[in-house]
Amino acid sequence: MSALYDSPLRFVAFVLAVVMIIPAGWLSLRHMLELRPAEDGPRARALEAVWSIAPLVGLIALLVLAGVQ
Amino acid sequence: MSTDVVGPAHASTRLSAIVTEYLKLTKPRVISLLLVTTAAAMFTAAHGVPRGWLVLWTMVGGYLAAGGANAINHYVDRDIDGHMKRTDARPVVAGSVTPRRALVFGLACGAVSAAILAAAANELAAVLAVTGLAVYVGIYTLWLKRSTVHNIVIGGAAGAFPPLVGWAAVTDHIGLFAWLMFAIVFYWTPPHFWALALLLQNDYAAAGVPMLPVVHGEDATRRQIFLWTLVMVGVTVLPCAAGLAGWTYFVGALLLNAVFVVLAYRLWRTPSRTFARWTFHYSLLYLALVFVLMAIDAA
Repeated sequence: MSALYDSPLRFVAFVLAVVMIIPAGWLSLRHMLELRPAEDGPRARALEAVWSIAPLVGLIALLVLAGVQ
Repeated sequence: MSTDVVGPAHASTRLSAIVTEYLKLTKPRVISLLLVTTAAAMFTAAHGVPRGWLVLWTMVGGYLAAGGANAINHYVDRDIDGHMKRTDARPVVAGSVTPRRALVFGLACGAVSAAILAAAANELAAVLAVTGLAVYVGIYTLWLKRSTVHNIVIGGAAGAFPPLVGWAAVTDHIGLFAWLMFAIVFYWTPPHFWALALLLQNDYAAAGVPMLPVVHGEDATRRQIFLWTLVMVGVTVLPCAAGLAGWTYFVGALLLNAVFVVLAYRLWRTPSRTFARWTFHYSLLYLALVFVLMAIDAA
């Protein structure tokens, strides 16, 4: 299998994935964190933050794995 | 005499009605899309056509695992299903199947699924199918569904297991491509399900289920649908970024993604039940076609 920089398809797809995932993922996370009710307790707020952040962490892992494959 | 004639016919009709009610417990319409992802994963993993019997038994096992999860979901959610128009005619709520029988049926389906997959495919496929069932029941239905707006985001992982099962059935391991298929279904679920939630938010509110539009309103939901659609687009091209899929898949996925993005953008900018309905229905077609494209590309 060719390296990321040697394959036009791999390179284009990787750049597209980064451009789509990072900004939209960040905006989605920020929006969800803003929506958290202020009256929630610290435990509830922490749990909501975990649920919001976990999918993004997964995305970063997938990007890295796809890039170094 | 009349009893001899009418009796068997009556018994046959009654048996048919019972079978129909138990079939309803499995939610066959929902499972059909899951089976498309399973089959496509099998064809992709095989780089062509896998053995016919393996496909058949994996489909049967996959159906029973998902159907068992759905039956148990009917048991667990019987207290809220009656508050929603969409679910108030379900067998357990309607009284045509007792809660205990629904639970036993669901557990039995899961057990039979594991046995079939272990015998016809391999232990890994069986374990993955049962894990998907456990995630759907334990993490989604029992824990997250009634406690957080992230219910269908995290709980959506349950619906992402079928391609793992299909891949494992053919290869007896799970590679990066299989995990990328899992991710595609996982990141597809929020825009798909939130579009449905926009249409059914009154039902969810009546049942006390904290779906995103119920808790944070329609504007926030439409914005999240658009943002998650963009994320999903990025995820769908990762198989190409990893060198695992070719131009056929890339170009096809781009076209399918373009339509999804346009629909999600219009839904975000134009509050409309029509756009929510279009987005929801298109999302079903979209997922099926993305997986079919993968299988074609790998052949």
